[in-house]
Amino acid sequence: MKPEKEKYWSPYAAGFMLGLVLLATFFLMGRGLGASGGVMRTVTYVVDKLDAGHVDHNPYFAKYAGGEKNPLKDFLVFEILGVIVGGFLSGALAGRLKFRTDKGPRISVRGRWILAFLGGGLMGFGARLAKGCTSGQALSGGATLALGSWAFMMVMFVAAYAIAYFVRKQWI
Amino acid sequence: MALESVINRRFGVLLLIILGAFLAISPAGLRRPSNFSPKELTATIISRTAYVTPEDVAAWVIDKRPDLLLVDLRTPDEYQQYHLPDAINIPLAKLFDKENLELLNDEQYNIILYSNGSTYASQAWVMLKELGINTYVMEGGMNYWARAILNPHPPGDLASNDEVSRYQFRIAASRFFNNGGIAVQTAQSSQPQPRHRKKIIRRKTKTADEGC
Amino acid sequence: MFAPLYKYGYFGFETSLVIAFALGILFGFTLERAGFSSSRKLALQFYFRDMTVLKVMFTAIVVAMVGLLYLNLADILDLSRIYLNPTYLYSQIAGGVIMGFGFVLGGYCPGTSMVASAIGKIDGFFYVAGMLLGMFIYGEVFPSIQNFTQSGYLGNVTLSDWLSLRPGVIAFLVILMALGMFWGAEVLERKFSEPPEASQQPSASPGDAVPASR
Repeated sequence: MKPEKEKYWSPYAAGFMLGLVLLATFFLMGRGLGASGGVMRTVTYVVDKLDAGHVDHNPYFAKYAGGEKNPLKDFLVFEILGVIVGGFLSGALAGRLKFRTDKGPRISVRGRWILAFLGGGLMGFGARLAKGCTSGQALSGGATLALGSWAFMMVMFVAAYAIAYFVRKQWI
Repeated sequence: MALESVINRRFGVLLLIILGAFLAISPAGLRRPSNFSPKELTATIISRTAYVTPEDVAAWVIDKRPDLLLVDLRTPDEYQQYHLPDAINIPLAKLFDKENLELLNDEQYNIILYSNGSTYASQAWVMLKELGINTYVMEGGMNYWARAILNPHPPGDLASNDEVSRYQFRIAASRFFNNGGIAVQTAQSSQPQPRHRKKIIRRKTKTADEGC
Repeated sequence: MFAPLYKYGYFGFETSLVIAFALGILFGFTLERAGFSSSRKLALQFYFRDMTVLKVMFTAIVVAMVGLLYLNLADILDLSRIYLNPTYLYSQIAGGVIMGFGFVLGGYCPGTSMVASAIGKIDGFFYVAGMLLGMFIYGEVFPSIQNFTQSGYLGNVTLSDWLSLRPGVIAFLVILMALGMFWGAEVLERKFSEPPEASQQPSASPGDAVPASR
């Protein structure tokens, strides 16, 4: 098995870099980073292509793609594209490009896939309920000291720690 | 190498604490862009374009102009006693509170300030202008309104046509504002709740959904 | 004050999309370099074995927060033109709970799942698929829960407004809290962590005969 060419950055260094990127986003655009919004818009785009009437009648979808609006013409969508490219670049340069599944030793690959799907589903739903995810609410909202974002962040961490024990077989 | 990382950490921690402490004693986060340009302000003041007469205001109220926003800068007690119809009360002392500034949506409304005379309103005008908020001042304020609109005096014999028509307008207006009665009522019945004119909260961020 | 540049009209909407792409690249690159393309590494945060998530997140928040405030102090950045996440308290708390569960179950958050998928993590693909479905379901369910999603609306409130302290003071408190958490994180890691080689190796590849051990 090929050893990885480059280890990960130290967390503080990575955090510092991330903070700078975030700051640059605020400085340039007057808003922070985000992720779930871009994904939501993609979903809305697809639904719109499949059944435009459905989108127009649903108040949530309509906000993004109602009528003639193009949901993909948005900061977040392009940002997410960049995230994918950036992640790929980093993985490529570090020799980490490989099809594999991360998991703990006590669960099967299939099991991990199922839980990943479920977790993703919960996250997708929860992210829109919270009107953001860790990138948008925790990082950006945290830096701007938004009250709801901090509340969200605290609650999310507590909830995650609370349930961690019950799914420990997946990871450790 | 371990020593180096320890020194780096100590340094980092110390730096952060110093940066933070400095922030704590500074007005960081509270600074606003300033629009102060004395020449412009003086020119506007001299040209008196920011003043409106009470007659104008009366006409606009009677017409029920939807883009009108009257701001009463007096104390709540004075406001309770009598205020212009549909005026909201923002005492001068509280004018620059965040919630109140948000109500002053000069993009959506024509904001007209008034106080008892013209002084407070004029001063508020200058300060709001510096914040980038455009408003108008009702000349003469409440004092003039009470005398001219609510209790108009007939002009003397030597009055010009202008004055006569102005008087006629005031008589009509006074009927409107006094609901047929003569003098000022206390405990205004209309009690317009400022709530029913909820403004756009963040008037600066007009762009759609900048969330995530 | 001349920042944020976009709000002062230094460039237009189309350019902003290009900038979004560029910033996204930096964002994704940094996330991957931090190790966030590995769901196991992310999840170990919640077993106190690898506190990278906490360290990275709070370092980033502190750096950005301090930067924002100093730029404002230097009369460069107009904070009132920076988008502030509105507070829908109950909706956000409910979302936070669901996301907490989803994070540990799925092992990613939306941003990191993109990065993971980009380097070939299959569990990342499943996660993304689930996420798309979850968001769609939210849209479908939205009309019925609409009132709840707007509940607890407090407006554009900051910690500074809530505690009636100046932003600089709040920032200082946040810094102190973060430093405390970093110290705690180091202690916990030393207590619970696995040897470094194990947490950086890929856990299972399709071609592997032996699953990674502790």
